[in-house]
Amino acid sequence: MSNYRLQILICGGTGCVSSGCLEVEDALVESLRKHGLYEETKVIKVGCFGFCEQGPIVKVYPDNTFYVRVEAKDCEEIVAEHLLKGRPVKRLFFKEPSTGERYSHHRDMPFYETQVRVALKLCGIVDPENIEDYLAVDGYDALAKALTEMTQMDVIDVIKASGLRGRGGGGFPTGRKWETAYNAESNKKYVICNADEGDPGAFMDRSIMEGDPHSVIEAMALAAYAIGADEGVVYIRAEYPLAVNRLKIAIEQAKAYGLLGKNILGTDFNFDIQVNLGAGAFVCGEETALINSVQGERGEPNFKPPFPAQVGLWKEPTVINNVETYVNIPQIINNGADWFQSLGAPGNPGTKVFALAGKINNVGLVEVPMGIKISDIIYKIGGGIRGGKKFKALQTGGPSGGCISQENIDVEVTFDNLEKVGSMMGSGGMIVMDEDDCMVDIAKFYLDFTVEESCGKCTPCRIGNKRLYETLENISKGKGKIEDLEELRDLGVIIKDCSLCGLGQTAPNPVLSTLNFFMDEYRAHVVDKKCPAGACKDLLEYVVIPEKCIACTLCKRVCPVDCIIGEPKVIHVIDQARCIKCGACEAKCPKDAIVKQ
Amino acid sequence: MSMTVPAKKITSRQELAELKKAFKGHTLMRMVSEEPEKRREISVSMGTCGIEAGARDTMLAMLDEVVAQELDDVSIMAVDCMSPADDCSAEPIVKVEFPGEKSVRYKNVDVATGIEIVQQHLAKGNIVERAKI
Repeated sequence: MSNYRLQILICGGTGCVSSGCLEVEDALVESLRKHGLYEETKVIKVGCFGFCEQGPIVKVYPDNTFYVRVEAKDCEEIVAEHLLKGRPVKRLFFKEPSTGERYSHHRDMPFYETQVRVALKLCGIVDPENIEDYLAVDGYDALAKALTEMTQMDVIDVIKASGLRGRGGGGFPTGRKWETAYNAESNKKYVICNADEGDPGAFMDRSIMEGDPHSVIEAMALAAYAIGADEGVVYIRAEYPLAVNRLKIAIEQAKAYGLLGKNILGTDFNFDIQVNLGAGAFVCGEETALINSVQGERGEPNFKPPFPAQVGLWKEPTVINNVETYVNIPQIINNGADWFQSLGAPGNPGTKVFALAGKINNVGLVEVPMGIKISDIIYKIGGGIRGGKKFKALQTGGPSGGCISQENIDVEVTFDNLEKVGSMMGSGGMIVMDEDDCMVDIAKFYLDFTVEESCGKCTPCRIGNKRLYETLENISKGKGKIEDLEELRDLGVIIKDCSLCGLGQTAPNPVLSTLNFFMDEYRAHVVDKKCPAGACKDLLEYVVIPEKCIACTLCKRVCPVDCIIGEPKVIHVIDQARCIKCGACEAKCPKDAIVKQ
Repeated sequence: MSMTVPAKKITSRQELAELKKAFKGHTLMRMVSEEPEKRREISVSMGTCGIEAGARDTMLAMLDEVVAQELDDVSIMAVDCMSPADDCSAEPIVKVEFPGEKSVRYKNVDVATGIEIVQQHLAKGNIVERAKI
């Protein structure tokens, strides 16, 4: 027991740091001192609570009060009213946009109600920079159990029985990977943690490392013990400075306590971890490219087989798992394979963390049991589409994934189901699109990313994707022909078939899946030369409806290129040849007499 | 970095278990609060009149006693004024609540009474009748 009456947790994830949590921390401490409460209160910066949209988030224990969008100027009121006098500051409670209801506790909020936290269990609970917090919540128990009670094969058997599949995208059974590495004969083996999170918009791995780095370290040690490795590498992008820093602190602390190093817990198991910074190339998330990068070579993939579990880092057997995969492992060892199997769906046990973003009310990091319906994620947790607009598609799997349309919205989320509907699990990005999003434009966006990130080794990927992109660009400019649509499909399939690694094999997916589900939109672009969503600038016109125009000249005055012809009492006309389609006139018109079509 | 440098490295599972016990207090409040059904609560009325009557001293004394008695599942909270019918002469007022049971309210809880409530009611389950409302 400690003598603290109060514990205040401030979200210290990257998202909340950028929305000002450090200023909030300073202001809180200042007010606590002012009111003489500093000695009885412990202020801790923790990892991500997940509800990034509402950051900075402050949580007060023991009441378990959940404050959202806290600013430095709110801190005095929190301290003087809530902490001193016991009157929670209701205006800082989360307000559900659809109902207007306010919630004082996070567990009652629709955003959290449906979530099940396994990978994020300790995120937002423990102090990531203090190993003592992690030890207090049974940290390193799983490692102790494995080292003293279990053989290497016992550990592998538990992981195999749990049915855990890789959370980095591929969904390969983790236990089988470990078994292959265990069976590979060599007196030197490695474990690698793939923390090269590259999908645009995905930040689950970063949040885990920022909020609970010791779980990653413990899991890597378990993997090392199971396969017989004594060295580990965390390959993490340098763009994640906070995660890198917390991971390094955690490794130092684990070494100081003898939980890394020689003769761990008095056994003859030795294990050490080094952190390797990547430059942030998407292709380095591919395991063979990652290994090349760690070895100081170009981040280019190799042909598989042999798989890294047979011939990996420095040509030795190597297990590579993703961050989210790893953090499940200590809990599986502690709670057993049956416990893990009881979560999620058959063949897809456990939970998955998704980064929910786009045109949705509740943006943030959510962890749900596998097998949950897509509609539940969007409407129950996400709170529905922003601004009451109509749902159009859900993009999953990042640049390698695809779009899921309205007709598949009740599909249960599993590795296999998502592939069946033309998308994929990927690392867990989920971007919601509404009626204002143009699917040609979306496909173009992702392809732009993969064209940029292609390592250039395979011709179909390097040149093929570029041609795909150019065709899409023509279509979005109204220069597309009907034959282009067939060509997009043919070329896409060829690129998939002829590329060496996952990047090229999946890069055309956003194009192919939108072609499948939104052919109407493509046709509208090439046949009618119109963009139904009104997103492709070259295909739309701003026009004045003469019946509505009151000839006030307001639009004329805001037009940056002076292309509106008219004067007071003369109905205005927009000169299409000079119009740059900025939309300023539409926004300014007091009578809604200007429309986009 | 708030970590104290360990005196020596952990060399056995036994030592790990002992360390874990020593650090349990760090996170206990958070873990207990996440599961409200397991938590016993002491609420101290902390309106202006409560503070004037010494509620803060009472609360801090009770907190120390809770720690001394090693009561893991008890949290102490300052709450808004609980005076019955604005009877400020009853302050400091303290409410003790066990999960699923009717709460017990005490009046005029000075430091000594506060300590007695922890020792008798929280630790042993005996209600302190002389101070009960």
